[in-house]
Amino acid sequence: MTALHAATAVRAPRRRRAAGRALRWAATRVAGAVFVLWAVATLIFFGIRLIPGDPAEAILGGPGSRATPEALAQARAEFGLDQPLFTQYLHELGRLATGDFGTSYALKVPVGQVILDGLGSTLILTVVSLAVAWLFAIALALWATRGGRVASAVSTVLEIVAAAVPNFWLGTILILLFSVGLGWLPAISTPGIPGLVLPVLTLAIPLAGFLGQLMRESVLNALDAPFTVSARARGESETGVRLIHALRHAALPAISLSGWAFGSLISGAVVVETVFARPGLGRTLLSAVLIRDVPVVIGVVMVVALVYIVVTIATDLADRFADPRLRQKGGDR
Amino acid sequence: MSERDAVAMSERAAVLDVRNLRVAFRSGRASTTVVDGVGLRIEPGQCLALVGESGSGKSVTARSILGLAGDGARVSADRLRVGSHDVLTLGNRQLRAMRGADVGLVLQDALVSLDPLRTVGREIADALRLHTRLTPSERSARVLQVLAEVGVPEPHLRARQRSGELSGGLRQRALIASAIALEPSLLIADEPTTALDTTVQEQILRLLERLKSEGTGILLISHDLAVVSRIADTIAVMTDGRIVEQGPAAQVLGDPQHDYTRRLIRAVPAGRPRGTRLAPTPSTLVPTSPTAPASKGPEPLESDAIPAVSVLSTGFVHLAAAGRTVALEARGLSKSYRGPDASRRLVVDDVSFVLERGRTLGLVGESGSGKTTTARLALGLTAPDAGTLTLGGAPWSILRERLRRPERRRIGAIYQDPLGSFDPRWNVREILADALTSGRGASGVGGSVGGRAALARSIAGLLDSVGLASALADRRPLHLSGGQRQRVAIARALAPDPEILVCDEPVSALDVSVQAQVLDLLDELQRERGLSYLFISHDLGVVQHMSDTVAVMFDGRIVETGPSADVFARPAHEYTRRLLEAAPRLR
Repeated sequence: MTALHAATAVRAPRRRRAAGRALRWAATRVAGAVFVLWAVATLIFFGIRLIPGDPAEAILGGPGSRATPEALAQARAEFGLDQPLFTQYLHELGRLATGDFGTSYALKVPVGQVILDGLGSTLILTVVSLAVAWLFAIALALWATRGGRVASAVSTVLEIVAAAVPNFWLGTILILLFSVGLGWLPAISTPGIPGLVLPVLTLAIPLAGFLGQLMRESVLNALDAPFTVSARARGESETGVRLIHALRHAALPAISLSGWAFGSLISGAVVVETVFARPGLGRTLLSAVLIRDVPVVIGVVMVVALVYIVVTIATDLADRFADPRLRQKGGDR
Repeated sequence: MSERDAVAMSERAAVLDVRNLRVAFRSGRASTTVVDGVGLRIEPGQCLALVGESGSGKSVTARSILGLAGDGARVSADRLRVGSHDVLTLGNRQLRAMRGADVGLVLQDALVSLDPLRTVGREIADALRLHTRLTPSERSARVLQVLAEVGVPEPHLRARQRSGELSGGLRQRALIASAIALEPSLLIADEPTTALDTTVQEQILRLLERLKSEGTGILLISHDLAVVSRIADTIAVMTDGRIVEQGPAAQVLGDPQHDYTRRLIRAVPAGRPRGTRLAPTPSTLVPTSPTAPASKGPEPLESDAIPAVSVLSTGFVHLAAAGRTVALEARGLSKSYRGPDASRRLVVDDVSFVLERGRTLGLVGESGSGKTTTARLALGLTAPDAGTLTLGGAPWSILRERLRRPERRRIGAIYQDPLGSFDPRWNVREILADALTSGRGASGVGGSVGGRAALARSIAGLLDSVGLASALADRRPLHLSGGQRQRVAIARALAPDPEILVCDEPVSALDVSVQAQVLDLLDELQRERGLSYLFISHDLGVVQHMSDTVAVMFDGRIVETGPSADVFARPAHEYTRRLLEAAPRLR
């Protein structure tokens, strides 16, 4: 009893402490994000110089342009390429810190513009793919745990095959089947929903296999747990037990993994956008790497890193939302 | 009224009527019968206790009544009626309508028996949502009402919390609330108080008693006769799927007819003098003449307790040499931890005790009283903020780890859940080999053939000393029974030949009769090897049976200490008295 009164008395300072904790959490996250962005910028800045070839050539239209030595020298001077590497690096960091990504060597337009052009398309592709993968995974997990031994065996095979299939192969097969063979969907990703279907499937199927495996395991665990016995003893139906109790428990590990999954979707987008000739950041990145368009490469990678950081924080928050136990970690003891 | 009418009346009145219930599980082609010819009958306001150990089929019986025996189960019965429902003829939908409305189920631990992700309010409201047409606001009003009925303070606050945020007693009440929200005429309580502290257990039993007096029929399932004797009108003793004895509680407890019932009653440690055997004598030990131990050396036991004890004669060499020296002494120990809200909490507060060599100091208290932290301090696993510990008169707590490590073999530990402290990939032999060699480092036994043979001999000796067949050495802990696991844990603790064992709730997870065997084993080992025990438990009966000296812990402090007999006969502190009153005992 006395403990109860004490608990009421300390509630106000506890709320203040909770706010303090949240602030500290946010500060740690921001500091971590800045560090990651710096590390990414550094790695990519030096890494891209390991690719053979002269960036000045890229500025003047690529390796086939046969630029004169004078033109090359002028281009180097213009873009600061004649300065010591470390000076270039500091210069680059300074620009990045102010949000200036510079100008594309090849396209001669601000990198920010190039990124904005591709970002929307890629985000639509990855977000829709993630959602579709989740839907597939949930359906598969529910079916596998409901339909008896055959369903369980079939879905196990489905999940393993799906998770093992490489994106580029799956994309090609889907094109052969649905575009070339059946003629239902465009092989080249046109704007609009029909053009989105095949790229999304290509990205979503492997991820769905992966998430499905994860969820089935935890659905089975939840269906074994005493609280589902309690629920059934209250008169809950099997469907109710699954939807209200098991699914939420099953979602927890999948949510935690979705941050990572989103990252893998973005890298998958590089392949898928190329296979389906779909405009987007992935394709922009690929062509920029091929012609050594350094500002574009750095810009795209930085933006992808930033998106990844944001998504990771978002999954963290989603975790806390879905699993209240995380919010009061450590509990009363 | 004719006799037939009277029979018909009483038949209609029963809330549960089971005759010749049989449940078999099919695995592959074989079929195992786990419930065989069980008959139970409960009338309104009656409590029938189904007593048996794990694996006896009592939980399957309970689930069958709800139609929840599982997919692979074949259930048949001459009669299986809940109120007016004939359970075996009901379809899925009708079964669901019956569950929750006519029968409520309360399981063991509300921490996992209520969905840990949902608030208890929503869990309770589920029963109402499934069976009534109440609006959400009416439902939440009823939830608060039920919570208040089961004695949860501040129900509006508690309803918004999850099982993990509530104390053991509160969440068990919430679980009961979810089962009785629709006022079912039958409540099935499957080990409802197991794992609860003594005083909390008493509160839950009192709540069940009240429900009973209000007319609810209760099927109480437990392995603990002392617990059920508190409220049962009828007791049915179950083993191996059969009911071996059934009758009025007083009769079954007072004049047990079946041998198994007698064994269960004898296994209850409460009120049994120190040194008496709780389980039938195993054949591995050599019985000596009853008077021999008392004449050799300073035997600490009352001589009248000796006769029932079997002893290895060699053990007394240790004891004689030990005399009354101090094995472990604590002076003014304090330890505080920083809570999640950054406030410091004093968990152990000025605790002092003396553990004499060859004797047992019982540390009793409820969860959160600081017992386990005291154990960690004694083991040198955590440093005290203040105070000192001495091991055999030499400094212990103030030693630096480098100096303490060679001495660690002198003090071992056994915990409540051995499964969690074993590497699941190791078999028993590997577990013991690891314990035997790690004290001396890898070079001690080495890879030489002679060393390996010696190791094998040591392992066989350890298994023998804890009464395990050497054939078990190849099993993994997962494939051992609870009692066998605890024996392996004891063997591991004995491996470095320690002087002291810290036993932290060593039998709390065990069935009563297995508990009896393990307690007997600990007792024998103490005599054989002159071990000193720091024996920690929340169970007063167990502590009373095992201890020479008792220290009662409450809120981090030792509130009362003294010879076991004195403390239990004449408790001086109010908290001790309260504990003693709440402790279930056979009556």
